[in-house]
Amino acid sequence: MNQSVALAVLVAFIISFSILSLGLFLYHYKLEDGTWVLSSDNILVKQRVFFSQKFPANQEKIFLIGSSQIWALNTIYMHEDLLKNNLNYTVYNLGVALDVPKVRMKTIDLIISAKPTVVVYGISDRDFATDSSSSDESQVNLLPSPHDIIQNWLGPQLANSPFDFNFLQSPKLNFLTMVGGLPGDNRFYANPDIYATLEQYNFPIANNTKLQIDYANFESILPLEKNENLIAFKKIISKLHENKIPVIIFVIPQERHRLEHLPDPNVFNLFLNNISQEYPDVPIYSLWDRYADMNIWEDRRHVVMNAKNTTRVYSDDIAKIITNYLSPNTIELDQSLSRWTFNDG
Amino acid sequence: MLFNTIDFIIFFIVILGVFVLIKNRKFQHVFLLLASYFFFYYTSNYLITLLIFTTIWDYYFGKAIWNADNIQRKKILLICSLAGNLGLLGFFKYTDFAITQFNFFGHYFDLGHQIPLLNLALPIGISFYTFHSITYTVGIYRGQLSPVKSFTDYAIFVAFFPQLVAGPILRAKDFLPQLREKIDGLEVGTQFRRIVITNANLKIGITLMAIGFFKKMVIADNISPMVGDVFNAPIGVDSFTIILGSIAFGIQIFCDFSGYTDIALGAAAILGFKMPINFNKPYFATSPSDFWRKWHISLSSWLRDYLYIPLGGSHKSKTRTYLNLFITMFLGGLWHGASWNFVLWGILHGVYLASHKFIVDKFPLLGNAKFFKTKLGWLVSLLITQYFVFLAWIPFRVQNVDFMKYSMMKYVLVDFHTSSTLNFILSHRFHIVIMVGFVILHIISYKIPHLRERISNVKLRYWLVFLVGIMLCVFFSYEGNPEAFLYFKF
Repeated sequence: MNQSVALAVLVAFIISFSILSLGLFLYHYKLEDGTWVLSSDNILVKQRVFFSQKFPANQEKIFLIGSSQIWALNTIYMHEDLLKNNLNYTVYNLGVALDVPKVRMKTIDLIISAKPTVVVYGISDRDFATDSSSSDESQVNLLPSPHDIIQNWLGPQLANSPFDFNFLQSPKLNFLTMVGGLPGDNRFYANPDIYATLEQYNFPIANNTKLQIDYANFESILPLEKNENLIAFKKIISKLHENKIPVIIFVIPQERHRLEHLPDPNVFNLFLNNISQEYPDVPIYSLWDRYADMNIWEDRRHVVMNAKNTTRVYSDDIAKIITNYLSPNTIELDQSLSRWTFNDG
Repeated sequence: MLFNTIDFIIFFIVILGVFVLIKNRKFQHVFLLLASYFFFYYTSNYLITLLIFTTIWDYYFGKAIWNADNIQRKKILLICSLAGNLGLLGFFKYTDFAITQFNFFGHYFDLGHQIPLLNLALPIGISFYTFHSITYTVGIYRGQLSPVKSFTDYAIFVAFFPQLVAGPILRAKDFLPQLREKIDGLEVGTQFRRIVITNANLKIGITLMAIGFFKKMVIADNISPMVGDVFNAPIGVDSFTIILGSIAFGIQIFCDFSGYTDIALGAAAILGFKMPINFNKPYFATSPSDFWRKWHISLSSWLRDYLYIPLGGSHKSKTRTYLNLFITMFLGGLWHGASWNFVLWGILHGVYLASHKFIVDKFPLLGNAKFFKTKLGWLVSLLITQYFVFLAWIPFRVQNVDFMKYSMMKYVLVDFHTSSTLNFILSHRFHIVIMVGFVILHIISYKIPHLRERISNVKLRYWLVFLVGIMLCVFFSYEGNPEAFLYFKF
């Protein structure tokens, strides 16, 4: 066989992979003082910068973690609410766009290293959705699986590699962000002072028409045993427990139109049941439909980050939950804000 | 092992490397068989035992049928062979479906006792390799071929990795001779064909694979989320959005399945094997029968030769012909999956075929009308045919009965609301661009015959540019998690 064709394929691969790598590298890194460093706009960089700060000694910290759906939690309001009950805690909102447990796992060690007093984790059905389909969910491997063997060997090799290949992940997302077709979101509201500066903004509240025609993805949720996000979520809880950091879980509120269009809400309920059975000492509170009919929504999933007190109820409720947890005799939660229990009826 | 993963790329490169380095014929064939088994085992684990069972079962039944001394005995042996094949397929694929229906009727008639589901794992590719095996024993029964002497040959035919899990459905009489070549200078006698990787085969094979990867990873996988947005919760969605979703799904399933087929054909071509084409621009079909001559050709021809014709085909009465068409498509729908939505899809196509045949029989002048021979007439036929084809995609995609009923109603009874459709299009700009891109490329491939062969025949430096373009599109539309092929579920 003449090798010209094979060579052409190899050359094509090298050229295209080089273009891909260069494009993504230049997107994620910038030249500073002669060395290539991650762009400060990069969300990982922002998180590393945040966690590498020296927190004031003896500061009691509460970390709110979750996706962009917790951004509306105003940490200044929450701090005020806690102070009213003599709880002097600084609240940090560590919400990250598109966050799911698998992604959050990458920064859990950083979170632990900052020694928070309490971690408050906001979850919804979206956290356990999947973007990859399994060829057969019910198949169990009775014999050794070559794929698992390779993964078990390759995983640590890549993890211990001196090279950071993270910039090659999700080329599509980066490409769409680059060309402007998809809004990338590197917002990180960890610094509580940011919420003070947001006072001047007038974030629009969606009207009923917009919410009616708004499209929210309904990703499929793999069964409990095969759900990688659930497995990652449990690992997060376990790690926090090992480091004696208490966790409070709350179910993120959803807007009425989204609730009405959910294919099967019971699936998420089963997930919560599974978590509560495995971690009975971790309280779960549900705000699932608490604000469903209120006029506080930016879209079907996001409460508006309104700086004019309109959407303060969300921050107040979470503050109440935290107060009730830290100082149970101080306030009593109303029935709709009590701990979630599984109802299989 | 999914084609669109690095695992497959490495696997395939290793196989090619072995065939280039080692030229011993027998070794090559045994290696090809073991590689195919490894490919299957990688995804299916212990379920490889079913594949091996099917292989052994039909190998020995094939011999027995050939050696049987009378037609009655041949028939009995064939029936036993079919019972084994279809019994296995039926057990793993349809048992839980049957139990669900039994429990439903039991509940309806208040029988009290409910049978627990077996929750059987669906062996990947069982629908395909079962049909492969059937072509062998039936072919021997019909005298179209003699049994292979080498078990290795037969096992390669059943397990040949490019087509193992999602077709195209091979015919034994077409594939088995490709494993052999005449011994030099002799009129009779064959030996294992040496597998040689030639430049020409490599170029056409890689061209096909590149086009397949493009269709699957750039088009099908990127349209999929938009289809989900429409059909995962369609209640309240207006007609134009439903129609758009149906078109999007039609494009998705075509690119997913034909993309897989292209990769399979390409991989086989590189190894020097010719496999039948499975798609021939079905969205340019101008009648239901034309559609089935262009869509999943290996399945439609299999159904025609092993189901429709044995039922009598079109040689009985007209009513019987329509019934045969209906039964064939009903079972064809059921083959796709143990679910009533696939049956409905099959029934719809059965109705289309029977209705079209009825119209052609009843109004022969209509079929010969001058109008339909004009460009406008061709376009009208195409639009009408594709309207019904895309309507049938709705039950294929939507399993929930209420969602399916709503979507089909909105498709047929258009409500003419546009504002939310515009909003939908604006929020799915990227996907719409992909759809438009597909339409343009599809028209180009229709206008330029043998486009793939032409691409593979261009000078090397232009072919290199083609490859770089395809690879860049594939890389930049890769999300990080490979989506399985839709037809893997069948």
